[in-house]
Amino acid sequence: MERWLIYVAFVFGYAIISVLIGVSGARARSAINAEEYFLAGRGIGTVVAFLTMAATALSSYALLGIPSYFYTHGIGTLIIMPVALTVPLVFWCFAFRLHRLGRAYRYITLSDFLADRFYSRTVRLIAATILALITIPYISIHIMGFGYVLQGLTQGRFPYTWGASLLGAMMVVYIFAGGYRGVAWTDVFQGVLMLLAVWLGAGYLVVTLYGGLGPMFVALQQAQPEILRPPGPHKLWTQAEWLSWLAFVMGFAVQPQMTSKFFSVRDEHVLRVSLVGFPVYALIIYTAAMVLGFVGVMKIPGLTPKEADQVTMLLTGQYLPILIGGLMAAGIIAASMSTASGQFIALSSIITCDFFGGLRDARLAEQRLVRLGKWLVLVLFFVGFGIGLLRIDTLVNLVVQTVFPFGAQVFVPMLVGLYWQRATREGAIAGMLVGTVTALLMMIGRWTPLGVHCTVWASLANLLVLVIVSRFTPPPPDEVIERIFIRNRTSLREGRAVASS
Amino acid sequence: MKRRIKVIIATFLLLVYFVSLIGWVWPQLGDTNLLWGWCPQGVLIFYVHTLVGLILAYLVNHDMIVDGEPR
Repeated sequence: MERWLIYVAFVFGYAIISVLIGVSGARARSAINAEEYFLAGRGIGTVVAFLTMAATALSSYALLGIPSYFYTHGIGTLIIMPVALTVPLVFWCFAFRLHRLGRAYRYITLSDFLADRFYSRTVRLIAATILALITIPYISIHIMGFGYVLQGLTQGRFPYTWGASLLGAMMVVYIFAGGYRGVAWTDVFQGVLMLLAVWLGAGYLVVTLYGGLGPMFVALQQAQPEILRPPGPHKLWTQAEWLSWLAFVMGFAVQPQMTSKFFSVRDEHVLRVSLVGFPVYALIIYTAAMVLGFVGVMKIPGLTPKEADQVTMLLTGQYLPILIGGLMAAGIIAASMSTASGQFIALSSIITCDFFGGLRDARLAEQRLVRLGKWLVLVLFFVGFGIGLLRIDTLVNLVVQTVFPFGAQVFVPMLVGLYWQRATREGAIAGMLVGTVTALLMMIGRWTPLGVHCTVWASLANLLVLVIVSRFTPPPPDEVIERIFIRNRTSLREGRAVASS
Repeated sequence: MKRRIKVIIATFLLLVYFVSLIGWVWPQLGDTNLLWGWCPQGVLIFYVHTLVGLILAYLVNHDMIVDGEPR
């Protein structure tokens, strides 16, 4: 059997197993309401929560984009590890409060909280629009990823559009049928597969080609010493750039597929384990990604930054034995699919609950919402597929340019709204608008004062405007303060008392 | 110990982590002396620093430095 056919068999074998797992998730629960379909009834336990958070957070960007960055820009790409580590450090500031409030007031989306806290439908609409707009291009990246991987591994024998459409359609089947529960269970399978595949692949390469990590680094130092010294061959990794990447976590934090995790977990303990487990998982994956990038520098030299997105697949095709190669192919697709499915279900919940939220009361309305959410998954697939056909940028740049600067503009009112009682509706609206326009103008003008990314400057502008406008507008109503701040603390004390007794 | 002091300690530790990452780890990263024949010194320093950050993340998330909420 030809090599490319075996890769295709591995990838579709993996996809069929995912569909079976996802669909069986739907059969596990007969009563379907919005909380069940979009958040698995808020009952996700420790192992599933940890793996779904890890698999969702790490997309094909971890296995294709990051090796490409190590290949092109060298050792400074290690900053991606502290970025992963920043997740539990930053999330600690808000994830537990959001989880508690979400459970108390039945929030499904982050915009539910923002609308409640800022007593405003306008805040909900602005936040939901920003979150929807940053997620749509991201899902298209994953659909592109399906096409790229199969095309790359089969050296063009399996057309891009076939790979993107067939694998995308299989993913949509299990999201449509299984909802969040189906997505979470497939994430468990996909998370384990990713880890296994990337470590088998990277381990095999470094041992068989160099005899270990040390000899690999020696060979790299002789072949291209600037790769091992920041700021790297293209002078990207300055200290300011490292600082900018750390700020990206603000945008990452409010991505709908991540905030839905806070609302879906069973309790705070589950959330704690997931948050600390995620960077451990990421460190292991990124270390393998570094090995792939560095082996690529020596074995497949001369790729342009755009071509470097293919380095993992070129190594797979040229240097890995067929079974490990097949596993690697399935692992890359799994990485992409696990993130994309989380985004599909989260985006569907935003459009359903935030834009059609008025329907959410009676039982019939719940059923209508779920039905709407399911069909939206299908519509979103066609939108993402259409954008994916354009193939407009390298994977990493597309993600960085759209998701983080705009996502951070929702992060600011969320964080301030959780801690500062005086923050007002007018302040939140003005802050988000100013921050978003600042980010947009700076991106268009490619303006990075002091070498720091626009995410940082736009967030600062957002914060400043939020504080100033809040100071000069009427304070929030007493009932909002009571709901968000006072009852929240009281329930915590009572919760601890119950737990200790 | 008062909660406010605990918050200051936690914030200080987080700041030390991030400032040392940019100010100390970044300049060390280019040190390519191979330690014990398997890893450049700069990379090893980076990983040790990251491990310390991971322990810090665990302590903070499990309320071992300061409770997430005022009592």
